[in-house]
Amino acid sequence: MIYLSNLEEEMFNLFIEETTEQIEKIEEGILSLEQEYDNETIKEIFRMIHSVKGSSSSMGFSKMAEFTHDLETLLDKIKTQTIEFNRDIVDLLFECLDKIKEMKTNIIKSRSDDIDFNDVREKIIKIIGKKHIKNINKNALEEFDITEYELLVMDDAAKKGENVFIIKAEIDPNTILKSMKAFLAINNLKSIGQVLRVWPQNYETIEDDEFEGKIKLILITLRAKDIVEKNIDAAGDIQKTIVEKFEGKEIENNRLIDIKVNDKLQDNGLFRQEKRDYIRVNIVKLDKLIGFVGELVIDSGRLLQIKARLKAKYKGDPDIKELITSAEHINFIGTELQESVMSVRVYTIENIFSRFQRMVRDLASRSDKNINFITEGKDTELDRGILEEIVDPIVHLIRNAVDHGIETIQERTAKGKKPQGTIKLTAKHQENSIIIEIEDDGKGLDIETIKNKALEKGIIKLDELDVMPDEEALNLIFIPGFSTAKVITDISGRGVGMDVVKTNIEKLNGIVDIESEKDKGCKFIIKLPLTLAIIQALLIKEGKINFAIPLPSVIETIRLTQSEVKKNIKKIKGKEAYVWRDKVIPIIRNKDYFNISSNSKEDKVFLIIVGFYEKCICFIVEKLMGEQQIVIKNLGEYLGKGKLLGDVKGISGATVLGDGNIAYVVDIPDIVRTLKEHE
Amino acid sequence: MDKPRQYIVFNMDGEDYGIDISEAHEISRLKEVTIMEFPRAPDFVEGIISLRGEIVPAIDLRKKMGIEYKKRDKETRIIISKFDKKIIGIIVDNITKTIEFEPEEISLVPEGIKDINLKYVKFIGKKDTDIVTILDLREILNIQEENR
Repeated sequence: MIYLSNLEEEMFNLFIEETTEQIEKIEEGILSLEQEYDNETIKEIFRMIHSVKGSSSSMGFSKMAEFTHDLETLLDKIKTQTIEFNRDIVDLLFECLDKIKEMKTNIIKSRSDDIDFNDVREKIIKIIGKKHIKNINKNALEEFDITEYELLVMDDAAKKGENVFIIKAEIDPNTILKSMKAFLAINNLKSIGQVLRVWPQNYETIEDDEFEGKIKLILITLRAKDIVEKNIDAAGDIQKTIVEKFEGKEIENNRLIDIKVNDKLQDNGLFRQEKRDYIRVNIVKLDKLIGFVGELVIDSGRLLQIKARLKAKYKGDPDIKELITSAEHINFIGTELQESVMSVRVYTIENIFSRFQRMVRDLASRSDKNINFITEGKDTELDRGILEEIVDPIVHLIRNAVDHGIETIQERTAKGKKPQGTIKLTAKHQENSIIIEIEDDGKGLDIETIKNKALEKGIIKLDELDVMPDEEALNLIFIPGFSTAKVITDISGRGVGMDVVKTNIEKLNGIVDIESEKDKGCKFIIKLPLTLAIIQALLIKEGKINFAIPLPSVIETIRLTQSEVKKNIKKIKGKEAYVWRDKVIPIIRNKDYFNISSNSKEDKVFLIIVGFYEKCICFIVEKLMGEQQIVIKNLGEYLGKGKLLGDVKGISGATVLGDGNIAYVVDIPDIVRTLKEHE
Repeated sequence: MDKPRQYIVFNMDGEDYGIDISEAHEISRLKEVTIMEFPRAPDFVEGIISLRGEIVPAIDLRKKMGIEYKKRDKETRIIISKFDKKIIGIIVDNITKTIEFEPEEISLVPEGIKDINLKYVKFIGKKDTDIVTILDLREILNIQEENR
């Protein structure tokens, strides 16, 4: 790999970031064109492609520049309605975009865009005619050894309506200091425009006897030809001047693209950079800022507690009054600041929805299925970190819905269902969580197949299976080892099973659940916290130890006296269970799970129902301390096999509370998962 | 090891122990920090402290080295060490002084001495009447030398 300096690295990263963004927007554009043709969208895509072309050529990725140039030509044909816009064109556009993506991936991997694009180019040529591609204005440029990049610059300038002149000048061979004359002439030209290149390159220093006096150059200017000629002549002793106008790569053979005077303004607009009220910020810097703000909020909470104590202690003291006012103000500002900063990290889910649209389209077209893909709630805002992590699980679930959920047209017709299947992707806010649902109207999960497979793989014993309710049996698909089929996803290129889907979601402090009905369809429900860094948590205390349970995991809290507990808790096969909403759910006593010695004399305990839908447990804790926002700190460096704190289950991190004390974040999904081992 | 190196010295049961000063980030009085017990952690783990918002596990050196428990007092100190990304607190009885050993004053543990804690000992430092057992913190804290 080529070593890059910091600045180059930064430029490179910026290039990749911008290109990625543009590719996404182009994809959205093509998708919307597929629904309904709109000239504005074509122009928008054109603008994006043009920008990719410019940035790739300036980064030295000439193949990408060349290819995007071809694509530009194609788009131009569509825009001017020279060619008919149809399904084939949409497919071709997607193919082109895939090529660009492939180049980008290769650039990231090996800093090279060396991807063969002749196959796609052939297709473009077929549609627009060979003449228009790679038709460099040969007669004038023949003797010019210009680079692809220079050609692009010239082409752009010509399209923008600037004059590009190819100039040949001869200085009287008898003149002494010919290089001086050349310098003067070129200097004059520089004052009226941009001199792209001069042959010979060393015209300023070349010795008279080595210099024939012939110079060639390319000039980009807004001035007319006669002004240019005058400027050259002004140097004196110029014998002969030929000034030829370069009209753009394709112009000669294509009258249709000829820019008409009326269109000029509009076309100029195409190349203007869109005015942006944005700046790019490195996500690491932003996260650091968010971390600091989180700490600030915690400290200001602490300040409020001190304030309350001081207020009681020094009633009426004017200094204290002032202190209280500023403490309250700091607290207010802190909260506002936190909200503003958090909103920076927040993205709408639309950013990822468009990718799925494309994916479903491609997957369905490969199989004998007709699928209507619907998205809802694309304006739902989500933390960027979560957004990135949730893509893979959703991809997997949608793929499954297409591959295994929705039946073929024939199967559906035979079942008396609508031939077209529907996959619905929904996102919505619900209290402090985000709910994402992936629903299909296909055949649903086959509970018997799942049970048999689980038995076969030795995941579960027959006697356990016999007493297991169907809803719970559905969850067997999430157990590692259940799904052995490695599916390579188009998006990530990694193989993920359903267990990975679940782990990924749980890593985000989220939960996933399934609802399924035979021949009616299947629905996956993902519940996620609003942000990664800061979450709302329920604080509890066991003995001297503080714990925090992420609120998305909490369903209900119940307060019972010891005698009520005795009455309500049943023993099943020696294990404690609690009847909650007509369901028998296992009990875990926090005290026993974490092996805490406590001689609490409290008569009351708290039952916290945690989990999600069918998979709930009743967590018994000593004291409930209320709700608080917490910043989760990772303990990964210290937790695990062979590490300092050992392999302690059920704790996912720690947090510093307002009073400076520490609380451990309870990993509910981990506890539910390891329920069996624990017993 | 060509240059003289400095060590922080503490005393446990009459014996002097040292830690390379470059491995000690800061030293605090124990009463200045609040330690929260960590459930189900190994016995020698005292708990977690919060150091200016950072989460720092703290271990009890006596317990880790299998030395008999001694009541905490106002001399008890916590040494904060930083290794790569890990910050760890080590609770010791006291801090008595710092000492500098020339390379020639450092020797390996003499053969014949058999001690279960030998693997925690890096060197023995001798200067005049001072004999200091220099501890291998990486070994004690079970820190793998990933970057070497």
